[in-house]
Amino acid sequence: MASFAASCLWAVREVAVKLKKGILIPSVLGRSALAAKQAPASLDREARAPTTSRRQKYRVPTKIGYAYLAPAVILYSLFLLVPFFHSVYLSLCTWDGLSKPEFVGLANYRAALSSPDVRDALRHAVVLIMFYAILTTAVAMVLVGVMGSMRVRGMSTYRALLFLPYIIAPVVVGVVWRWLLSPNGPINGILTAVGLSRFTRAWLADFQWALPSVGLIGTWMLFGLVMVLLLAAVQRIPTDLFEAARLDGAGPVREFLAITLPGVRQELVVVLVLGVTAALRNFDLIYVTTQGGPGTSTQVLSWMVYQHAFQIGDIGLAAAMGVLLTLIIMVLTVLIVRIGVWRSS
Amino acid sequence: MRLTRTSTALHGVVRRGPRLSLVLIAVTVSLIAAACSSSSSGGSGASSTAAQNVTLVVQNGDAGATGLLAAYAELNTEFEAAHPGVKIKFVTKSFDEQNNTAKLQLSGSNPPDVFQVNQGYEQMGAFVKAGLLTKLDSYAAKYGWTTRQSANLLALNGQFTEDGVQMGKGPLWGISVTNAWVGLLMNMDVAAKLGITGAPKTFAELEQDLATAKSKGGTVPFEFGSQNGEMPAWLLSNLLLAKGGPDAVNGLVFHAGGASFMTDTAAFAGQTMKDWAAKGYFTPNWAAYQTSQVFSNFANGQGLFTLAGSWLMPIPGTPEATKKFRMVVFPSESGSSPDAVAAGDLPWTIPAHSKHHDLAAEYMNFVGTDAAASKFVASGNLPSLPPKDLVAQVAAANLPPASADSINTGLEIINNGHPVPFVDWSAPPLYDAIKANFDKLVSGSMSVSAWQASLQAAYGPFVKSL
Repeated sequence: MASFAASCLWAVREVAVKLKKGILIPSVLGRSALAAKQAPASLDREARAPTTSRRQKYRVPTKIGYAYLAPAVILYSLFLLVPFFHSVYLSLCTWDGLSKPEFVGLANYRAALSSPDVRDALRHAVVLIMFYAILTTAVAMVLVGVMGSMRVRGMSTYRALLFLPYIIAPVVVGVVWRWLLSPNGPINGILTAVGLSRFTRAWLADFQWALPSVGLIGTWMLFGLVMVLLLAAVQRIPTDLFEAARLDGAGPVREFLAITLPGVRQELVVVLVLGVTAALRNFDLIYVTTQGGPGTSTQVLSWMVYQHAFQIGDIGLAAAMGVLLTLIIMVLTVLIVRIGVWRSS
Repeated sequence: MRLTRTSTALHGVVRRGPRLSLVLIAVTVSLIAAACSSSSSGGSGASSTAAQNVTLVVQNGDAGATGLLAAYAELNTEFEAAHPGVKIKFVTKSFDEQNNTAKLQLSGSNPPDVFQVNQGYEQMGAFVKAGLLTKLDSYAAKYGWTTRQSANLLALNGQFTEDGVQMGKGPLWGISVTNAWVGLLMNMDVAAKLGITGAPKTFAELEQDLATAKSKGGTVPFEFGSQNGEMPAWLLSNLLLAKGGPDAVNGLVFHAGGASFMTDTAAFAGQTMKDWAAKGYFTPNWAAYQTSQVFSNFANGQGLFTLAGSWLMPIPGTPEATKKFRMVVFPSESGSSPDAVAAGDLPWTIPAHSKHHDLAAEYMNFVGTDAAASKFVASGNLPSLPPKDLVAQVAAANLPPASADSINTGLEIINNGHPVPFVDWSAPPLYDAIKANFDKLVSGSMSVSAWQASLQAAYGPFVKSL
């Protein structure tokens, strides 16, 4: 029974992982892509329009499609939906993981929502979103701008190097950065060496700086992936559009705003969803670098779920927080996707 | 550990052909051996527990305690030799991992046969209530465990009422065969440079030494780290003990009527932590360090004092480098009796779903004998059944001074002082509350009374819920 509960909690996190990896996104994004197609076509879509209408002439057999879907759907329900709904049930109970769960209605949700710790955790999540989603995208955009305009030998090598942080396991990233940012670590060493010793501090143990430090680590981890996604989108924009803009006398800034940015809008939606979910379900980095400290200054919801489920043994409250986290991620994802579609129509 | 690694490395060197044949030979030999042992057991008609082919899974949460694990490795070999056909699978986990997975392992259908369960309400109490552990009273009577250690130690480490409500009373569920305590580690070389000649005998002397170290400079008075919460919990237990005596800690842990954190004793503990931080006694940036980093910094010669558990002995380093360290009791205000936070190592229990209850009890008996006790002493640990000639054995083992202290003083605490439990055993949410609020308190963002209220909020409701 307890192992089942743990697998539920694990499944809730796994849904978030899937969201991040994009396995769950297609259903949401697919709709937005469809909406985009129905919307008045923008410049580059006009070029693609004939292909689309030719394709629509073929009758696609639909019934057999469900048979192909069946294995995936069954597995998905078994390992994700069933545990997810079981966690929803557990979130309505008081349960220590051993005795019989006792139904208490919405008490766990009331406790979670009225807890100052949960409110702090949500505030921390907002700060982390600024780093994981906004700063990451900004950094990646600048890099894309630079890399798009440069013609250097071995560009793919640089690209691979910049992508590298993303393929390193977050736990390893955390351990490395904990060392880099430690009181006697290299970063403080460099600051001292260049005469800025008054700026040295224990970055991950400082009440003001711990959360931004974690945010920066997350930014470092994600920007490579975001850059590669955006770079692919930029390279898809027809070059004659840039030429036309230049003929019309557009400078680099104008070119970026009028052509590059609208051209990568779809990818921006994906990138923002990735960043926001990464910030919200951030557990591994927190676990390795700060354990929620100092005090509770880097505590986030997923860390609290872990604490309550495995250390304190209040699985009902942990499940409630997990469900809340899932809901927040879903709502934000839908919002971002909707805004993306609305802006394009 | 090191042996396993060497053998894999060797396998890597051997080419594919020979390796395959080696495997075949190994399989054949083990099959023949299995056949032999099963036929002999059938013929001899020996006792059912010992003679069959059984793998006894023994799981501990003592990773990092190298001396202790080395002693267990020897005992396991001896146990296998004394019980033909029995194989021990000894699984070692970290303390955190053992605790965090215990619930799942014990409630599964195939748990380890002998399992270390942490004392206190969060773990042992909850498992007793859920019926996941085996009552040991009949085994205790059969093997005479009650004569091996004091009633106080048995109650502290293994007794719980069956409803999980009262610790230290009711049936016996677990038994610790070694003991550990938390004390003050002192670097005598650093002390000598500061003109401090001996270990502090009273709390006032300790504060005097800290002040001396701070004013003369050149060293951290008190090596400290709060990142994983362990050291704040130890310091809190010790300060409560220093001010309020054994009753202050026992009252909280055993849920005596009226016990709470809204007391003068708790206020003293909070104020002292705050003062020590404000006066700069702690390692700068203490919140960045975990216990293991603090311990290794201290072992490298940094700092005058630190807090440490005796299970962390021996201090790593050459005999020359470690002879400057001593381990003493954290002094109380009166300094009258050797009281310390002391408890058995994680007690051994038999999960209810184990398939080999009798053999498991046999194993727990084996590691609690006189012979086993001598092995624990030689590895620098204090057995629950101290040998009569303990002092001579410690001298003969030629241990570094701090390790010898950890055994000799540990015995002194058990025999003549008051061993008290860790204060965070008293309620499941308390450990996290101590950890999170320590940083807030000592950084100045939380008042002592607000800190007391936050601990009480983690403690009071739980006690009421039982």
